[in-house]
Amino acid sequence: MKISKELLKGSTTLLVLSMLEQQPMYGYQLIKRLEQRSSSVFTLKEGTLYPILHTLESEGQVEAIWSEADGRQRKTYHLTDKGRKLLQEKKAEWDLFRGSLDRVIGEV
Amino acid sequence: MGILTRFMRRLKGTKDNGGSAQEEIEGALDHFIQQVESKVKAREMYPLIRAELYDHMQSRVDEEIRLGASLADAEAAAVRQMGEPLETARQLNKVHRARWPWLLWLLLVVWISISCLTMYIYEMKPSDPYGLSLTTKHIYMMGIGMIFFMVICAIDYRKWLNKGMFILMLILATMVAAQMFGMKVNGHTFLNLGFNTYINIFSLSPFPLLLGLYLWYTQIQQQSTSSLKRKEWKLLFISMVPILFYVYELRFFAIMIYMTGLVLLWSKWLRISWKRIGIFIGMLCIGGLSLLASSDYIRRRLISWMEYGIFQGEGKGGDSYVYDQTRAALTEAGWLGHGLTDTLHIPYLFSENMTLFIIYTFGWIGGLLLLAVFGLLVGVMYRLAANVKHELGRGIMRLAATYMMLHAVLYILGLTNVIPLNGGGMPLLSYGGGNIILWMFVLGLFCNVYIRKDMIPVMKSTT
Repeated sequence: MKISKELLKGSTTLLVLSMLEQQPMYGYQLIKRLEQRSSSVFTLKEGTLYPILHTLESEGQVEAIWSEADGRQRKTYHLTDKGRKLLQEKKAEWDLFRGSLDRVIGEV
Repeated sequence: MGILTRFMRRLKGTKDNGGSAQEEIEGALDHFIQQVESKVKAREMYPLIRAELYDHMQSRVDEEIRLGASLADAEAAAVRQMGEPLETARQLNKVHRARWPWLLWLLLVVWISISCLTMYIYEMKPSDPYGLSLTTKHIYMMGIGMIFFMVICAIDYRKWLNKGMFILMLILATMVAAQMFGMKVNGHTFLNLGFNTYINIFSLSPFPLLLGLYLWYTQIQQQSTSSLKRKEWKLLFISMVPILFYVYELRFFAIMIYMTGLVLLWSKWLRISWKRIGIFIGMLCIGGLSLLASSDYIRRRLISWMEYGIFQGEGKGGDSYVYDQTRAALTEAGWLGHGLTDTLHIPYLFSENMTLFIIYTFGWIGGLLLLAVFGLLVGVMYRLAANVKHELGRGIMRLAATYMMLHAVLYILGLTNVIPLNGGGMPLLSYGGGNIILWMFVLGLFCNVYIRKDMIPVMKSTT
């Protein structure tokens, strides 16, 4: 079953921050890891990942390091303390949302 | 940094001569990247966006080929997975665009309004000798300052980088000219620029000098490593020259603010070295003692300060009249102040001590509110500076914020008799065209950096 685009859109920042909490990653690696962890339920249009990463970088939630890999320049992102704080907030927000949704639709 | 520099140079070279690097990013991938680039407005970001998208798509191509696809199919799959290029560009434009520091501007409007309103109230006082011209002139100068602010905002701050030495030399030359051709008004030397314009270069100079030193040092660091030590010593020597001028002119406020700024700059860029700090403190002691020995005026000022600070004495008149009256007015203000009907009789109040006037009129509560607004203003400046990744830009922003804070802190310490300083005023609060233009320059430079923060490529590399 495919997840609605709108539903995914609202949680991409949380997903990206969660991925980067585990380890520093470059864009393609992040997309692949996200697909694996969600059993291909979360598949983003890959071009949309970079504006999200750049926004997080601009706001100081992630930092990027350039290096050379496979003969190409590669930008690897890692989470900052500010990013960790945002992730905690997003997780708390998500828990509240999920709990409320479950109560409304009668799962709990 | 090396890899990225090489890469940027390679891409730049490509654009210049249509060379071979462009051919490395071929076919479908290149077409996709070009479509994104064609719609991204921040042109300087192109090389980094290109490198990142290329790495992503090429990683996908490599994987597809490993799984058995042909090169053409792999490239087509990579492009397909990326989605709509124009959508990517549209989203990137939301990030890489001019950033407007709205909160800072709102606080500045509040601060400037307080300044103009205070000037108006000052002129309403019964014994005002200046007529209604001060407020008008003050607002007029704020208007000129705004134009200056906008011009400074418009010039890319990176163009200042190689102007450090020029700024230093220009200010030092102006100081020399002021000594030779300037005229003394109430003990202050003014330089006539023509068109009935006089500038008090000695009180305006600390910020441009500190900015010049910072820019010059940053430039030295970027240029070479071979003669770095020699250049650092040269810079250290030149940074001492303005102190001689300030001592000669008895500009205590300028000395304090310049030297505090200098110590902060050294601790960051010249790395704290006990040898250098020892030389600095030694020079300071020699200079201070000779100043004390040579000037009756300074001795009387110090005695006056000690009387207030230690013995809580009364004013003795003479040279320390303004000094004594200022402290007395602060003490007498009380929590609620004297209101709009009582007048404060202190010379040069409007040009040096409008903060004191606010405290005297609206009480210590008014003073604390004023400090709260200023604290918020400087706090916002530091917070904005922390969000800037470009090192030169972040340095300029911190220098501007620190200079504003230092100015206010030294003034307040003087006003409360903690240190023997008199006047100086809070930024933008007092009357004086030169001062207003200087503060607008400082704030314009600050905003300039912030506006461009997401439109300038910043690269941190593992090598």
